[in-house]
Amino acid sequence: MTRRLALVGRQNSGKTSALMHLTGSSQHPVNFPGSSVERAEASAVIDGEEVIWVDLPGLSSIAATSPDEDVTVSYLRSGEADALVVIIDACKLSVELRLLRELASLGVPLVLGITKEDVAEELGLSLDLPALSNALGVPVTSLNGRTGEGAEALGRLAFNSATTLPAGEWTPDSLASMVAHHQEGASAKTRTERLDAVLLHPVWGLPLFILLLLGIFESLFLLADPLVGLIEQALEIAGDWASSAVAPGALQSLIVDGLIAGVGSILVFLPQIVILVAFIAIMESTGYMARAAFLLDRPLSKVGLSGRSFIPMFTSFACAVPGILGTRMIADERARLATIVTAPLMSCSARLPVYVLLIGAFFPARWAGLILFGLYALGVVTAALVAWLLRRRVLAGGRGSLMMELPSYQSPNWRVIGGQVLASSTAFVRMAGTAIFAASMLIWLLSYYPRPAVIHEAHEAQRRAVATASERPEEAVAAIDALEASAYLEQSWLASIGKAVQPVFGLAGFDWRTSVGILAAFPARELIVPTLGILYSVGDVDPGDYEPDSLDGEVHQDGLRAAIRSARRPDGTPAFGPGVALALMIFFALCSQCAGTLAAIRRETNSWRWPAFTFAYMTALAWLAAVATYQISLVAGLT
Amino acid sequence: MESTLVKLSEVPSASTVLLRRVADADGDEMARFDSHGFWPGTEITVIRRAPFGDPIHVRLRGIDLALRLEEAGCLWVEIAPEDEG
Repeated sequence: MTRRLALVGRQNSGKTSALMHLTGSSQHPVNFPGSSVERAEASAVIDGEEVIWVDLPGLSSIAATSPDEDVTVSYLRSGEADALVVIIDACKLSVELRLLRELASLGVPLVLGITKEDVAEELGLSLDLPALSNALGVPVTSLNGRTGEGAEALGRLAFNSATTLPAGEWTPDSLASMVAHHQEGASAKTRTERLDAVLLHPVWGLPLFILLLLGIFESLFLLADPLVGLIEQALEIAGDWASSAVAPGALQSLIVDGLIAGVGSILVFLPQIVILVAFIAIMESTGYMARAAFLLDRPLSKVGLSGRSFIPMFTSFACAVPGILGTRMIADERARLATIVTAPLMSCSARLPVYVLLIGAFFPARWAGLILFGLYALGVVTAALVAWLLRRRVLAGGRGSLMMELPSYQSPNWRVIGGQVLASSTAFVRMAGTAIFAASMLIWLLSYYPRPAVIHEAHEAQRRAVATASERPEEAVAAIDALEASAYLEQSWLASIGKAVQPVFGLAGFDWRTSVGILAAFPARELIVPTLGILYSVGDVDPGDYEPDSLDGEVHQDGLRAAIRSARRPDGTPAFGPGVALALMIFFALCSQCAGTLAAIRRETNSWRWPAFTFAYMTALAWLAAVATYQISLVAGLT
Repeated sequence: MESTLVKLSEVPSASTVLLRRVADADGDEMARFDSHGFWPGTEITVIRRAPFGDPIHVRLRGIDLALRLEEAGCLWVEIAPEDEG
């Protein structure tokens, strides 16, 4: 049977780098940055035999107090691990030895891997490893997390020589003072102290942090753009290929309109998610993330959250799903729940296409940035209010706790960052391939059927007529095709549903088509863009066409924007105007329209109560805010 | 004679103190203090306060930690004579 070797250690002890070096670069068993909350497994070969390495979330005590620690403790107690590699930070020996003592009580054979000896040396500290090994009675070796030096020896030691820790006559303090030697005179300020003096400065710390955030958001849009173009091209080629390879009909529509438009419209967000994850991973890897939490703890505690809530909240600007997983680091259960149910209010990358489409269509370019900023701010402010209310009522009580380590600064470990980016994009693509795929299929089905023959016959007659009469028959036929598609849609099951709920959304100024778009967008909000594209009979529209850069400069005249500007209601009044557009954007900023997020909340809270609550409060707030916006815009004459 | 004990939350920045006892903490909090090295006799340095005065940045046993004032209020410490004034 393949042996399982588990890596255990406190947070920031260097486990992630250790695992990278122990398993080689081909493995990517890493968690989303800031949320090393699941155990990860990777195989490797030691002395010609295959072993499985298990990476466990950081642990400070086996009397676990936070959900990520629970994962580690229950794994350790399950007896699945054949040996433990306890990763020990040389700079924090006494506290590390306390954990070791607890781990020994599990009775699993173990070895010690000592990391960060180079950092300890800077502090004037050196460890006598042979003496440590002698005193404990277990093998001890050193591992350089940066270069990987010592990883092979550590792996072999764990495989061949792991030993149960004998009960010894030592205390963490006595042993630490015996094997750690302080050198005199090494009292110069460390790099971390010098950096902290600037980055945590009482006056400049916060402005620097805000500048950094602004820089990240700015480059998010700048860097993602060329990559989005590439994905769009690939989707276009796939769509064209499917259109030509598959005969027109239900199957072609299923592939082109359902599969490629549905799943494809999600993949367009991949570049932004990758870039944001990379930034988050860099902040985490350098040690700055904990500083951000330190700077923001006070303002966040005012609304009942914790500095630790910052990381999941920030992640949610890319996608709320990893954000919600990241809340496991929050030990206080009530603050954690408040973070979980408010994180989806952060404007994720899937809301962006809707904003960009509507801002570009109805507002002058010079307002674009301001409106976009306003929509992001609306999410943040609403989240603060909801968290505050929750913590005063439903989730009241509990003493504020932070107790968070501020690790030494390190230069970013690109291998770890690369692995994290790869892992989270794989997870995202997997979600697009499963949950989003299923939702897209359902929407396609509802929008495609029924297909009465009368509609086809009527349009076929028109096509025959223009084919001979028109000067440019191809264009005329295409226009009739579009009309036919919209005629089918108008009597589809989806439209029946849309018309049934339209009275509810009518108060916000939405016509039945927009109502259908909203319904279609409940499984995944970005689905509204292709849905509106079909409904306003301009054929396939990709949400990726509405990237932020299209707001710059001249007004971007294109199909969908022109179509929604000129769309009319049955009574001849415009279907859309700035007021309706604003109401729709605000609806999207606040509404819970993501099956993946609700599934993540269900998983993380282990109940249906919290996803149901999140869905209900966000949707109700979104509706109220949209109705209020539209009604005010009517009074103000914005339509 | 033991000198007067104060709460860590009241200790000014840039001073080093000795932890004497942990009080008013519930079970989970006690476990967290224990696992982070807050054992009686431990030397703790208060490095700085966050921009809004809370949390505080402390160092003990080679570990830098952010502690809320509320948490620091559970830690009774003795200001070493040479650090007074």
